[in-house]
Amino acid sequence: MLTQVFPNVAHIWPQFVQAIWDTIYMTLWSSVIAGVLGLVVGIVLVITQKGGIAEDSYVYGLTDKIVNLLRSIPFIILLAVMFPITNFIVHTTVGTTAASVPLVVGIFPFYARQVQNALLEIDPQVIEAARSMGSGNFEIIFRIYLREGLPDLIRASIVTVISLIGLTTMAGAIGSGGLGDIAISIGYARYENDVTIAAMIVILLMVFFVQFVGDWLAKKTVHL
Amino acid sequence: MANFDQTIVNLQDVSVTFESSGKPLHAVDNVSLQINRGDIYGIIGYSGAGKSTLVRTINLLQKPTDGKVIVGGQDLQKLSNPQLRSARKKIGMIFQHFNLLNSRTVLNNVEYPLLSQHISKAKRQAKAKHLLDVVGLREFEHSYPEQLSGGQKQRVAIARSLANDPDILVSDEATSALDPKTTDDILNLLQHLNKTLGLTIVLITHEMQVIKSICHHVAVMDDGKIIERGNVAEVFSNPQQKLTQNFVDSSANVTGALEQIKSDPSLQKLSADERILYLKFRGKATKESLISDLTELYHLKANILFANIERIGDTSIGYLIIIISGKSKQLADGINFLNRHGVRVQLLPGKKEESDKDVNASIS
Repeated sequence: MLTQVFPNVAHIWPQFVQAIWDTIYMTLWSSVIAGVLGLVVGIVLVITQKGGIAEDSYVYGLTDKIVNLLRSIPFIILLAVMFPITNFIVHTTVGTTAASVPLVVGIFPFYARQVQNALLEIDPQVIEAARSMGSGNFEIIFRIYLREGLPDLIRASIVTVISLIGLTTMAGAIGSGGLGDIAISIGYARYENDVTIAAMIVILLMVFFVQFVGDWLAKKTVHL
Repeated sequence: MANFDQTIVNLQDVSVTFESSGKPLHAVDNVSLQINRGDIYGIIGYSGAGKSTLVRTINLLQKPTDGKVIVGGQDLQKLSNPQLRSARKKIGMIFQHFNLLNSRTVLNNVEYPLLSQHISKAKRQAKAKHLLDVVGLREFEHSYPEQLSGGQKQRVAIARSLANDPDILVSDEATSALDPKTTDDILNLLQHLNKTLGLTIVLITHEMQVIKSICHHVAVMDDGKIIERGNVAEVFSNPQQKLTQNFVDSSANVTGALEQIKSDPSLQKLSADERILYLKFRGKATKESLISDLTELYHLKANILFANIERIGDTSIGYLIIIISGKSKQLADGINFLNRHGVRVQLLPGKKEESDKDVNASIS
């Protein structure tokens, strides 16, 4: 069946399977690193803003501007601009590892904003209650913000991972490997449309999977 | 000033000033307040009076711009951050909107203040369960806050505020979001805690009912200042300030009665020998037969338009609006008689032009 509907995919089957793994690899690594970075930056934005538990207009202003700046750069241009920095960090400019660097830089500011919005949903009076009970800033971050904000944080993470899957395909333009790379360099360049469509279907499946798992997790954390 | 051991909360010349669009806003304006151990101290005022800002200085959730905050003999502003956090654990706080953690069960909410203490989980849970017993919610330990009613949520919040065995409980409009019946239940619980644990309670409210039912002392706040304070019965039986008077009148339903009387056309035109009097009396006077004495001794006729007796603490305060009629001399003597017996007499405007000078002469 595969050979009839997707003849060219069957022809490059090992390469196609590798591309799926490459996409998963890039998505996973970038998610983890950008996730940690974005979470930290998002928390910094929330606690240093006016009225936050560690109000600091200087830190807030700087962080806010960096996040805005990075979010303003179109990803395809960021890929090119990041070349020397990528080379410096991972000593290569091609392949999945090299692509992960601009992916992280491209996605973490987006995630930071999502985290910020999720945490701002928490009633400031609950934070005040925690302060009245003698909680310090770290306790408030770990026991209140991250805990009370968990359902929203999970939803923000789903949106971010889905965006990230999209970005990995764009990284195909600079030879990152992965499904985007195959869709462009084989499906598009050689007019082998079935490869493009197969890549698209696999990506859609990945997105559905992430959405499904995320929704399930979010539901588990809401107590009504 | 009370002596050191007795005074648990001692605010000295506390001011809190906010910048609002360039202009300074004096939310709390040079307030001194001493609260004794074991007291239930109410602070009443309309919203915006600064009462919430004032009580937040007690645990330094709000840092005063000026003045000293001494709690349990400690100058809180001189403490380091960790010391301040320990001090806060001895000052429980409950809120209008309960502020429970929705991601945790009722039991975990009550446990929360104990998480930072180095005690075993078993001990922590035993303590939390005991506190849930105290507030009567043990069977809800595995529920989540969203599954509870408002009154139940406030009980959980009270249990949580007690987790660190505080000396003081600050209640920030804790009953304002509750219906009257639930309000009574919560107030009874607070009173019970005050009696059994010797817990000092500082509560702020805009409802007279709250002050009347459980407070021993009261301060009336307006525009960042305490305008009147003292023993609840004394302050409310003999209010010195107009705002205090408003609170008392509205609580005793006098405001409504006055409005009604003023707008009643049949009471607008009084004959020269009639007066409408608004009488207030407290304590002893409520037990005496003043009105029958009035009619017998001075040959006046009295017609009661409104009457109410309020109990504040263990004092009764009576409110009476009557029309008396009789000869001018007798009217004046009758009013003097009432004044002599500790009744506060206020003449209500009926047929103005004649009555004013008469009674001014007689009341003075």
